Order: sequence, then C-alpha cells, then structure tokens
Amino acid sequence: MVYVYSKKSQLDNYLKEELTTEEVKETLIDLGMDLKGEKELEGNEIELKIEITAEKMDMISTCGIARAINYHRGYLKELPNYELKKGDLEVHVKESANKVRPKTVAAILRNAPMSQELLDELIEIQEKIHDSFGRHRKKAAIGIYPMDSISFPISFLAEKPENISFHPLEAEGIMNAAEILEHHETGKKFSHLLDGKEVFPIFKDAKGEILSMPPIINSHKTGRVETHHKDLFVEVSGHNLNHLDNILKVLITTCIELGCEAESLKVHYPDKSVYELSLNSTTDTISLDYVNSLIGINVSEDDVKSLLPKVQYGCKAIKDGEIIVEVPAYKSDVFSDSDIADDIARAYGYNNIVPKIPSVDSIGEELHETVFRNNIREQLVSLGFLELYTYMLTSTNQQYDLMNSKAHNHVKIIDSAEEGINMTRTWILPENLKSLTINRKNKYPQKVFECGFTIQKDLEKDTKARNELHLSVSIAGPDSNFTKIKEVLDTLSLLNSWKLELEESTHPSFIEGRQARVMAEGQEIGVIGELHPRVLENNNLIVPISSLELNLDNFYN
Amino acid sequence: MTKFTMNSPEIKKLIYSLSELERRVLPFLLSTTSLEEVANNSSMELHEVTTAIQLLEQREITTFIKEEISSIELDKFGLEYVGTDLPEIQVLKLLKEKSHTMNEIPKELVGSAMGELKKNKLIESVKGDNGIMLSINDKGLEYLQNNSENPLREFNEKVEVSSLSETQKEILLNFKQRKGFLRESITKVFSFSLTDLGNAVVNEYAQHYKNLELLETVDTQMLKTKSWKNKEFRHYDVQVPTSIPDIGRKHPMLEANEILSKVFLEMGFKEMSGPLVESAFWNMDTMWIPQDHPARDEQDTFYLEEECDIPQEYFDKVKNMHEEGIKKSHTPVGEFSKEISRKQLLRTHSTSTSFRTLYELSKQHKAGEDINGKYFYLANVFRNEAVDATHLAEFYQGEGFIIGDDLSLADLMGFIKVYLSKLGFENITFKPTFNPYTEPSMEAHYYDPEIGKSYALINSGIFRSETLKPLGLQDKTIIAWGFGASRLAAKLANKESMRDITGATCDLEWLKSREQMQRTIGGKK
Repeated sequence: MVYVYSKKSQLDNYLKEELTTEEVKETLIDLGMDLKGEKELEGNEIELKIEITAEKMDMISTCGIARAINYHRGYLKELPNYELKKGDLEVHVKESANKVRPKTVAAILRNAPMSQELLDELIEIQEKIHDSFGRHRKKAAIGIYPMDSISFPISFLAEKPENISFHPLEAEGIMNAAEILEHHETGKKFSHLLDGKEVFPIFKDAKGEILSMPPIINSHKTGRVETHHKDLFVEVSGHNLNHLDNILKVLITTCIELGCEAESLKVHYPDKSVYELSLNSTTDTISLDYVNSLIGINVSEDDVKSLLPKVQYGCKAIKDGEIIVEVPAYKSDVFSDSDIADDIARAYGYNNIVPKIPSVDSIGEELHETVFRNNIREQLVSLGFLELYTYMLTSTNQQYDLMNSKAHNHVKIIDSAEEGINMTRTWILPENLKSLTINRKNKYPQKVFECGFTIQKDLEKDTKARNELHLSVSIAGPDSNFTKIKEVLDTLSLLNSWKLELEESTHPSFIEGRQARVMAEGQEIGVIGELHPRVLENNNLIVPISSLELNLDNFYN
Repeated sequence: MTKFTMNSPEIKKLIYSLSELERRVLPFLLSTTSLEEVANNSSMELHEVTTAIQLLEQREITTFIKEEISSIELDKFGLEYVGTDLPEIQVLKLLKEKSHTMNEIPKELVGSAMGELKKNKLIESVKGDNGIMLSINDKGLEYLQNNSENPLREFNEKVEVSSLSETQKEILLNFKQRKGFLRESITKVFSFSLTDLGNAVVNEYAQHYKNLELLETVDTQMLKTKSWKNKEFRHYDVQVPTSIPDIGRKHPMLEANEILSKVFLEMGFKEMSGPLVESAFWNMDTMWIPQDHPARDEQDTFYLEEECDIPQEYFDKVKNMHEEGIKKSHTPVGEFSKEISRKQLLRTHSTSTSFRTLYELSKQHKAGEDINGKYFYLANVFRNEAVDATHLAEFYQGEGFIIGDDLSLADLMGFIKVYLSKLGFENITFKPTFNPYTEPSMEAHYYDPEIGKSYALINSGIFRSETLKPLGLQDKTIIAWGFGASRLAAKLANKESMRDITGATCDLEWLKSREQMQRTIGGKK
C-alpha cells in the first residue's frame, strides 16, 4: 500500500467536474483504492489520505488519481495523446556501470510552468516512487537536474569511490564518496546500497562535472533544482530497463499533464543498443469470452467498448470476440490477460456482478488428524479440564531454564521483533505453566490442557523441521499428585485403546521417584509426573502441580 | 420493610426453611441482646449461638451487632509497680534515708524515675569523686508526703473509657507522657437484636411450631427404616445463588475454528494440512511474489537458519516464470535466486499449503484424473511483529480454494456471501484490491452496525496464470481466499482484541464462565 496525501483543492483543480469528498471516496473504492482519512489544513484546505494499491504506479500522484477518477466517471473518454519532441542530446552508458548499477533511462522536460507547488509535487512523486516501485532506491532511483547547469553529452559510469568527490546537496562543501556514505544524512541512510561495492555509479557531464552519485545524492552545483529552472534533465537508474522505462513514462506523462513539454534523448549502451523514451500507447489482444467467463458477466462487444475507457484503455477494434485494446504508456500493470479482465470488471462495477454458487461437486472431508485431535479435546473437557491455547513462539528461558532442563535440538529464531522470542516450542507444558503462573490469583484446583502442535527440528524433511501434535495436561492445586495425573493418562488409554507402559525416569523437570517415561510399542512418547519444586519456584508457583506431555503423532498416523 | 408485613403463611415458609440450629436458638431470643445469655438459657455452646444468630441475620430475623469498647488497663511497668511504689517514690524513699551515688540506685529504677525527679526538681545532684551524688531536697520531702497513695491502683481493674472518673482521667493525663504504665485496649463485644420480622417469627414460632421436627437429608438409613414417613423435610431457599463448579471447557479460539471449519465441511470442502516451517519457495516463490517484494522483508518474516530442499523441476518452472513473466509489463528483479528460494522460515500465510496441495493435484491432473474440488485449512501462521491489540506474532488464518473449469469472480462472490451469511455476516459488499498472486483480487467488506463502520473480512481472488502455468494447471480456474480466523474468533467471542482470547494471558475464570459461543456473530439467526 502507498498513501498519497492530496490537497482537496488541487484534486478539484485536476477533476473535470466538481465532486464531493464522498463521491471521490466512492469512485476510489470502485477503482480498488480507498480514502483513508481527511485532515483540515490551514486556510480552509483539506488534505485527503488516499490509499493506492501496490501495482498502480500511474496513481501515485494527485494528478494520476484525478486522471483515474476523470476516466472512471466518464469525464474523459479518449486516451491522451502525449506530444514528445524527438531530441538529439545523448547519454552514454559506460561498460563500468555494469559492475554496480547497469541501467539508466532519461528524458528532458522543457518550459515547465515552474512554481514551488509544482516542484513540491515533483519531489513528492519522486519520493513515493523511490519508496514503492524503487524498493527504497535499490531497484530504481530518480534524478532531476536543471539543464542550465549541465552540458551534454552526459555519461553514466562507475568509478572507484576514492576517485569520486563533489559537493553534494545539503552539505557544506566538497566530500568524497566515503565521506558521503559515512557523514552525510542521506548518504548514511542509503549507504547499505553501495557498501562493499568496488565501484560506485556516477553521472558526469561533458565538462567532467559530477551530476550525482545514484542512488544516493545529487551534486549541489549541477543537480539542484529551483523554481526559476524551466528545463530539466530527468534520469532513472537501476537494474531492469523495462522497469526504469515504466517509471520514466509515469513521470514524464504526469509532467506533461502538469504543463511541461517533453523531449526525448538517446541513451547509448556499450553493446550499441539505444534507449529512447516513447509515450505511444501499445496494443494488446484479449478475448471477450475470456473476460465474460473469468468475471462471470455477459457483456457485449458494445458494452466493452464503453467500459474500456472507464479504466483508461482505448479500444482499437473488436472483431469476432477479439478485442484489440490500446494501453496508455503510463499503465505498467498489465502482466497477463487477467489484468485487463479485472480492469473491465472494475469498470463494470464489482457490486454489479451477480454472485452465483460455484458448481463444483465435492464431498466434504475432515482430516483424520483433526477428528482425532477433537476426540482427545472432548475427552479432556469431559474430565473437567479447561483448554488452553498458547503460542508456539517462545524462549529458551521458558522452554528449558524455568523447567530446570537443558537445551536440545530446536528451531531457533534470531531476529524477533517481539522481545524474548528465540525459538519455537518443542513441548507445550512450559507454555501452560506460564498460563498457570499468570492465573495464580485465581482459585484452585486449576485443571488445564492443550492439544496442539510443536515444531521439531528434522533434517530428514524438505523443510528441515516437522509439526508434531502434542497433548499437555496439568493439575495444579493442593491435592494434586502423581495418582491424579495418572488417572487422566489411564482414562485416555482406556478410551482410545492406547497400549502404554510407564518406566521410571529421571527428567529434571519432575521429582525423582514420582515420574515416568511414557512408552508406546517400545518407543518413548512422553513423560508424566509431579513437577519438581525448583520448577514451581522458577515459575513463581506455590501449589503442587502434576503434569503429563505426550507426542500423539503415532496415534493417528 | 416488605418482610415486616409478612403474613402467617410467609412466616411459616420462613420457619420451614430454618436449619435445626436456627430453630433451637429461636425460643431464647426474646428480651435479651446477649449471646452469652442465650447460650446459658438454651444450653447451647456460645459458638453455636453465634453461628445461628449470623444465619438468622441473613434471613433478616436478627441484626448482629459488633461493638468495639476501649478500656484503660495497666501496661508492662504499671503491672510491675502497682503492688509497690512508683519508681520515683522508691528512689525518693532511698534518698530520704541518705544520699547515694547514681551507681547505688538500682538500675531498673533509674530509667523510669530520673525523668520525673528532675522534671519536678525533687532532688539535687552534685559531681563528686565517686561520681554523681544524689540527695533529696525539701520539695522532694514534701512530694513524698503528698503522694503516699500509688495512683496505679485506681486501674487495678480495667476501666472502660466511657466510665472513667475525674481522678482516673487526671491520672491518665499524668501518665500520658510516660510509656509502659497505662494502655488503651480495644475489646470486641458481640450482641444482637431482633428485627421486627424477627419478633414476628419468634412469636409465631412460640405459638405454633415449638415442637416442629424437620428432616434434613435423605439417607440410606432413613429409606431402609422408612423413618421419613409422616415427617416433613426442611425447606430450602431455592433462590440461593451457587458458585460455578470446576467444569471443563474448550478454548474459544479453537471453538471458533471448529465453527469455521464446520461451515466449510457443510459446503463440501476437504481439509488440508501442511508444515508450519516452510521454505521461501513454497511460501512466496510459487505464488509469483517477486524475490524483492517488501512483504518478504525480515520485518515481516521469521527467517530460520537451515536451507530447505525444493523440487527441482517445479523450481525451474517457477524460476522461469519469475524471470520471463507472460507479458512485457513484467519487470523481474534480476536473476531468480535459488539461495533465496531455499531459505527456511515460519510460514507467513497458509497459502503455502494451498500450493503444496495444488502441486499434488497437478500430478493427478497430469495423470488425467479429475481434480476439481474444494479445499480449506485453518492454520497457525506467523508474522515477525511486535505484539499489540491488533497484531499478533502468531495467529490463525482461514484459507480455501475451489478448483474448477469455468469458475469466475461471480462464483467467488457467491461462495463468500454464503460462507459469511452462515456466520451471521450479512450485507457484504465487494471491493477490488491487489494481491501479487491473484487477479482479479477482491476484498469482502462487512458493514458492522454496532460500530457503524465497514471493514474487510476476507481477501480473495483468482490465482494468476503466472502461478498456475508452472504447475501445468493453466487450463483450470482457481478461486481462493483467506481471512483472519483469530479476528473472527474474537468477534464470535464478543471480545475486542485478539489478544484477549489467545496466549498464556487468558483468564481461566473467563475461560470457564464465558458464554457459549454462537455459530453466528452476536448470536443472530
């Protein structure tokens, strides 16, 4: 999600008809966007917080939002015809750029109706694209320069950091590349994008002046745009030419709509290929049947003809159920036919589609595992136990230290946002004890159980771990003892025909002589006993607790 | 006041509900307020009488009165000196015989006497060779004469504060500054009084029920000997509130899952299950989520330390789709990395299991079997987030898909409407949205009349061709959806926050006494 903050007056200015905020919201929702809030600014101004979904690059500005609304409400019907003057200026991409940031695309804006407002909007679009489609400048970064300060041809190349030094924006004077990454505010913020690279990318002009060091910062001398600059050089640098081209198209078409003129230039690559911006729309073919069947509607060729402009497509021709769709230059989210079909559905209106019941025959079936688990849960509830649901995310402290036991094989968690979490549970009992600790002010006896998954490390599995279904049961209270918990185990064995044997054991969480290993067909599947006073003390508990924990995997598989 | 005007039948009812103990004490309650007197008159033990009076108080027959009485009595020193003279008098008597050095005065007297002697200037002290020499002066002699009576004797017996004489008050004042001679003690005195109702009951009892005999519990002996015949049982107050016994209950989160699951089963769905620990391949790559997608960030995903195995043939196809896409708008990140695919993680959604299921189905599809069907899963998923009321690091997600030959967005809407309606959510509207692996993508919104706002309940869509082609399922349509089951569970349990109903912090008393969860939200329908 991207949020665009639009001034209502500015939006009104771009809209072909006057709309109330409510009408704007309705249209946005029909388009799959949303109006998330309004804020009153000084001077009767209202700021709208508009939510744009992650694929709609063309709606990342107020201008783009207004365009979408104008088409959707039918105020605009023809696709725009963007004028792009063919220029003869050049940018040369050097072989060295390949090592760090291989691609750039560029164009020129002329006679911009420059004002602080326009400049602000340009910077806003630039930042929004950086943060979303630019993946925080990693995938793409935009640079804008006044034509007055630079001389063509421009080179895009990479140099060793020690050979790069210039006066960056928002700095006192000349700094070298290392200093910029280490001391400059913006440099520090994005230094991870260049750290460890042998060479750093730079734009250089014909006089050898450094224009910028993308994706970090422009030069103060040659890359500082002010309101008196009417002609601008715009470049986008990154890794995928197609992606950069999409971004440049959105930028330049938006600027044209804001009153600029545009001029193309030639970007020469070392392999002799040449990039030159085109703002022509492209075409795509899609079948009407496909659209009708995917969306579940029944629209005619004529219907489609009138629906397409509402979602900013042109209709070149429709013949024999094949629609030749015209896609404007700024639309960058047509990955396959379903994208066009979906746009047509948005034009049709999702809530105009008549829902129907899917006619796929199938017979319902609960997993064996679930049936088994539910049986066990029912049995424990009938024995008077309260069911707990505790988390799988936990800590070595809870799972081992407080249990007086030592760590063994488990799945480790390294960077948890929630403090204290460093593993997934291998058994449930410690988590249930935590619940008993939190509930120690409540009345006793407290009889609890949980039947749920644990995660066991298992290098035999493709994911190197496996789910293991466990049952943990605890009785806390003055009268709790080994017999009480064994009654539960014996009852479960009886009800489920389990053949279990108990062997004396020395588990450190339980009192010696009052605990046993639970065996099924010669395999250890669990433990039962009275918790050791040290474990109770560790958990701040002052009543005896007897518990059992079983691995149930073998009983239902 | 209502009981005061009780008529005879109501009083009878009351008398029939009295326990044997209460009935025994009843005839002795008139014209006394003392528990002891009642005990004496009735030959009952005092504690029995006390219990009976307290029980009768609950029936508003008696009022139990607790009084605190403060008295003055001798304290530690008081008890020590009451039989002899006050310490200062003892010292003066010694000095009257002859002067003494300080050391010659008994130690135990010095402490409590010297202050008084000096304050009243009754002795002279002179520094001499053997220490301080003490002698009585005229004033001392006079004092000795005037204080021949030991004032402590006035308090030989404990005296209630309310009945102190003037002399006693003065003495008390004199000893106020002197610790350990006199002290105030508080005694609790219990008594009772009869209420108006009580008077009526006692009189009625004396007139009509003196010989009333009521049986208590039914027991084997009674049944064997038929001793119950022609007798009456004591009547119980059937309205007395009771406490909740120790009952077992299911956890609301899992109870909600059972409800959600049941609705799927009723609609003919098959349940899926899959691993909690996944590879990035199954969790993201198979869904055509770009390898640089922000949702893959470590801020959202718990990455683990192992490298997973992934099926090579399927991997190659997925890799190719990531790199090439279907149409030119696709902009890959660069080379698709197997290293990233193999990363081990805690699944961030249950769609990983849907794709494992689809992978199995694709094999059957290749073998020419009919694979059309409906699948669902209620699954724990993980997000690497700090926990608050609306964000849990671990929660339940509901997930499902229908695979068929000619399914559409209209079918998806139809399914969602029926599913939600079975849970009581009506007036559902649909809104287009964006998901990396579905197109069209759609949210189902519910208008909640209670909060006057609408919010998304289900996120859904039709799986992109880019996700189906690597599976060889491009000739099928798959409609799919997911929802926050934990959030729905909180809603069904009438709780605001998911955290209220999950994890170790859940209150056991609430778990025990919470209302039965209804299948429909708010118990409607």
